[in-house]
Amino acid sequence: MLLSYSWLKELVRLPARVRVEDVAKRLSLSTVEVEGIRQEGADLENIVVGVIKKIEPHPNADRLSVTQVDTGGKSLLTIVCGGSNLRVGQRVAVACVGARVRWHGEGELVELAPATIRGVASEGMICASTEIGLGERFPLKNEKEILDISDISARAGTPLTEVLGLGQSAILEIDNKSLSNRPDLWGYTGIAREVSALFKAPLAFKVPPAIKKGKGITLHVSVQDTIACPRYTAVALKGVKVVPSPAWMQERLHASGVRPINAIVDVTNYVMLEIGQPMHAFDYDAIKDARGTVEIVVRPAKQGEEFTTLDGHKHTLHDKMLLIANKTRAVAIAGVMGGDLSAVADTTHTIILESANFNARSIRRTSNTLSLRTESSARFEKSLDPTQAEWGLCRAVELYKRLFPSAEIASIVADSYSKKAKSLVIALDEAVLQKKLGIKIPLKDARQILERLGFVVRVHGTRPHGQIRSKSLRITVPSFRMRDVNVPEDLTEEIVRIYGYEHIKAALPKTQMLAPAPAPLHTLARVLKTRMAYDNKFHEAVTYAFVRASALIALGLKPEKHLMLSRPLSEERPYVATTIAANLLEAVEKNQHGSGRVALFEVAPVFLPEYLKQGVDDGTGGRLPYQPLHFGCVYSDKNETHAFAYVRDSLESVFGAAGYDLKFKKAQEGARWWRAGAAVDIWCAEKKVGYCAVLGRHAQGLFGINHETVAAEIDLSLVAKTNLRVKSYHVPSPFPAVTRDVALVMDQSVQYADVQETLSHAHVLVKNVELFDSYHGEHVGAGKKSLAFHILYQSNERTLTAEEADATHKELIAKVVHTYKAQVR
Amino acid sequence: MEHSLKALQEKAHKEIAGAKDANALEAVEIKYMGRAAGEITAILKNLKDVPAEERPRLGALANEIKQDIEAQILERREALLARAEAEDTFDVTESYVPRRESGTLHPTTQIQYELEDFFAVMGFRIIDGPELESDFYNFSALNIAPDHPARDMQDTLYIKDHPTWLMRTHTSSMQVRIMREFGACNALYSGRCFRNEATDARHEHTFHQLEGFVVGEDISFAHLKGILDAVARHLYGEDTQVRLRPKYYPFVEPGVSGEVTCAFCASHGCTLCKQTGWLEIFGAGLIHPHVLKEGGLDPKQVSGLAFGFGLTRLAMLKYGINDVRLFLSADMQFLKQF
Repeated sequence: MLLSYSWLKELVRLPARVRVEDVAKRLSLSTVEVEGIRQEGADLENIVVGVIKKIEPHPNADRLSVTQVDTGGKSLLTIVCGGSNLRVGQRVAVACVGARVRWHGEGELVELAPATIRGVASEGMICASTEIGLGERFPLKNEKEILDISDISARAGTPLTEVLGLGQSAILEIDNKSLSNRPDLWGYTGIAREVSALFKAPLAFKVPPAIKKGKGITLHVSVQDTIACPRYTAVALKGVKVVPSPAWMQERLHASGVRPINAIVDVTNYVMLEIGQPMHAFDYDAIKDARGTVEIVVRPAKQGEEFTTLDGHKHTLHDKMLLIANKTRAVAIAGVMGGDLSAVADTTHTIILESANFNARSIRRTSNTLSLRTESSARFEKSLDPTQAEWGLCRAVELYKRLFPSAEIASIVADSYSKKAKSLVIALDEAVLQKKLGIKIPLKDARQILERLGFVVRVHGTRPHGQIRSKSLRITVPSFRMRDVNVPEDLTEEIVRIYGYEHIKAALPKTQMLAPAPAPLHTLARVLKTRMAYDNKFHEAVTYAFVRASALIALGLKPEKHLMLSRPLSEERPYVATTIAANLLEAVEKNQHGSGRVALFEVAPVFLPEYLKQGVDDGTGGRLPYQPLHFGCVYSDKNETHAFAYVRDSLESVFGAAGYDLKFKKAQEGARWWRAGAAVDIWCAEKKVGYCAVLGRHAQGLFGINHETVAAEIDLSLVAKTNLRVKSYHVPSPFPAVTRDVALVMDQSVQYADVQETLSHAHVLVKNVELFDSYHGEHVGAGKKSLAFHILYQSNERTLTAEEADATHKELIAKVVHTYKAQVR
Repeated sequence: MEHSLKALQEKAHKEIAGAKDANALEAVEIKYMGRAAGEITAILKNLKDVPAEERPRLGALANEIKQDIEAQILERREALLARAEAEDTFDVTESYVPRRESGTLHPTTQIQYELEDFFAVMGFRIIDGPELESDFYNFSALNIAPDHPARDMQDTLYIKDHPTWLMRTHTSSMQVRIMREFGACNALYSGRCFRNEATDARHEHTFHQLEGFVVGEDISFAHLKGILDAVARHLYGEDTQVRLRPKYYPFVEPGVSGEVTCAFCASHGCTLCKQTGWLEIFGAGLIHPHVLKEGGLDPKQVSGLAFGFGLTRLAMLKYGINDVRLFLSADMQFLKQF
């Protein structure tokens, strides 16, 4: 929203010392966000009125002229110009050296320097309107045309800003989002009240005079849907004409970002800007019936009814949209836009003026459905005060009479007002105010703030508050604030924001101690994440909660068993995830062209509609889908020959660090996407909690992954419900240990875990068995593999001799060789 | 005997001094001192053949020479080691093979944990809650009216065939849940939030928030300022100032947006703070009495303050990330940097 500072100053009498910057700053800190201050006409510096005295053809260019221009200086300026409409005596806008212009109306502003154009020195530039940012105000009729201001009387050399009435006023740019809860601020009067409170300055606007009813035109209003249209006021006014509105009104509309059209329309826009009340003027001739009567019906559209708005667009309506109509046809989409047939035309002499109140939700729905947003709909969407409809009508009539002294009211003032809002009185105690804010604001100040904002304040005596008696206020909320002020807390905000948040001294609450609620799941997730990242070189990813059908199908899941978004963000990911692996596997494909190592994990909830009983409550007696927290990881490394073991051991170690022992059992029945035999179920304390598997070739193809990839997923909510492992320890032996190595060749079908188990329990002196190499390939023969171990021997009672260790080692090897038909390598 | 001992000592001295490196010195040591065939060792062994009256003197001499040679070797060894160190051919830049590298936590997780630790120390309970929420906890309980624009399908992701289920649009959905479960307390909660938004460099439909509240007796706006001051200083340094401006949230009253002095330009104005010197980093306010009531609490007995951060925004500011889509890209080139 754009606010003209000079207009604002007319509505609130600010002390002379207050500058526009002060107003912008205080508004920003207390009311709305002022995004910037623009000096109207700041870009027009060094641009003056020039009078063309002489025009000669350019010696070297057919399309250029060399002009002599009077710009109020001692001598005429020589200016080369290509304008198609140049004539002697013409008043034009001359950009002098140092002015900033936009060449041919495009690109950035460029500072003008003296130039030689095709051999002739040029001391300035005769501007087209688009070259100095006035294109909207003075639209070009053809491309070569320069701005002709001959009909404005001004002496040569007068700054253009002065001629256009600019330069006096600054414009405040206000962020509309910061106004969304304050319908009253969509007009200058609302902002003026804020400024009045902020600077303790008196307001300078009055309630407009009531309209005296007139004669001549029978006007009748009937509202069929009083919820969608709580109030509709209208009046007929004759003696108006389609002429330009006066300069002062045009300047203000311009400054506020509204294009002047003609006096009749401009008044409606002026009132809308001034008090925030959208208005509409219908051409009487276009909406009267055969007898000259105007019968306005506010009714829902018929399903499929067609309507052409005044911008020429044809819309197809539905029955939730509200129309303004007469007996025969629709004349406007209520609160959004009027129709082309009933719009003010050149011949208009009498108008029906509408000032109504429409339901915010209805307007928003209509405007969204039609993709039609107007200044009017933007305001109605915020939920306007029905009281101001009447104010708007009176104010507009007041202005019309000023513009057209012979204008006359030609009907009664029609007013359909179904349900008048009751007044609202809120009690606020001084002690409560102090307690809420943590500071004492003098009651006098609080009262003054509220009164300047339009509240009516009455001291209601005192009420006991603990040991003290506290003054109690009775505050009547004005109609224009009933949308956003309902409870004492709202008043607290009114007071403190104007008083200034900076005056509240920061303090920490006095201690409130509570035993921490146990959060094993949160702790588990945190340990896992930290360990996966810092101990196991995985990178934490965060992916979407939504997945593609193709990814689900590749993992053997049924998309139709998933929850879906009612309006998916993208066609591709409409399903709410039941697994983390789907998105992580997609990430493998995206990352595989980097270093060749992809190691990602994620901790996120999944959404299981079929376990409703386990879901948390929805607050209204029902339950939400169960949302267990899952851990997922993917690993793919072209330089790693033991990817599966790497992932499985990482899981064992990170869960171990968090206090949970995982068990891995070869998956008996494989999901179809696993590589046959290359998968384990993961167990934690007798519960199956997840899996770890090598992606099969088929699934790998579906995901577009080039290298062997391992995926694992674990239900952390299940894990966290099991008991933490109690750590045990052995007294360290004081005697030295002896290490012996052995490499064993055996069939590939022999499982490492069995060999490890056999070795570990073969003899009381075996303290530790560690695999340090695993190999299969040409050196050991087809179908064979080699496992090499470090074995640590140690006694708790004595120092082992080398002979003793060797003998034990030999015994151990013999046992393994026998059990697994192995050979020592 | 005495002569040959002296000659041996002299010869050993020369050879020790001539040893160019540790190996050569070891060879000399073995030649003279070796247990099996060392020349000095041999002499000491042969002392038993010396006439008894000469034995004490020669024995003492031989021992003296032995000790002397040992000392010389020790000294030479030290000198050789010192020289080797001084020559400095040690390559401190050489990488370990295979390369040692760490994984990473996601940037929003890092900031989340940092703030969780900060608030845990202040006595806040860290609590997790559902991302798929009911419209009750996400909207109604928070004083967001049925016709509030935020409830539009335009802005919120609803679940098909379940009109009261939605993806939470903010972590504030936890407020009433927590109050109902724990009563008046200090709570901190964070996680993914969702809005129906077209994605571009500045907008992402999935993002992270972190939020907290304090509900208790006599909780005032001054306390809100106290907490925000403390967090701001923790995040951006001791000199950080906080500025509050009114902002509308239906579930707080008064509601404010909190700005901190821009730490990236010392408040001189930069692109991050849009030349204002202030960065907007949180929304906050006193909890609306309707919300306390929904939480089963009596607004006459207790009051509350609440504050929330965009974790995604904090991370973008901290690392100067200008494309929000990177956060959920799972792109390792991005993730590896944190």
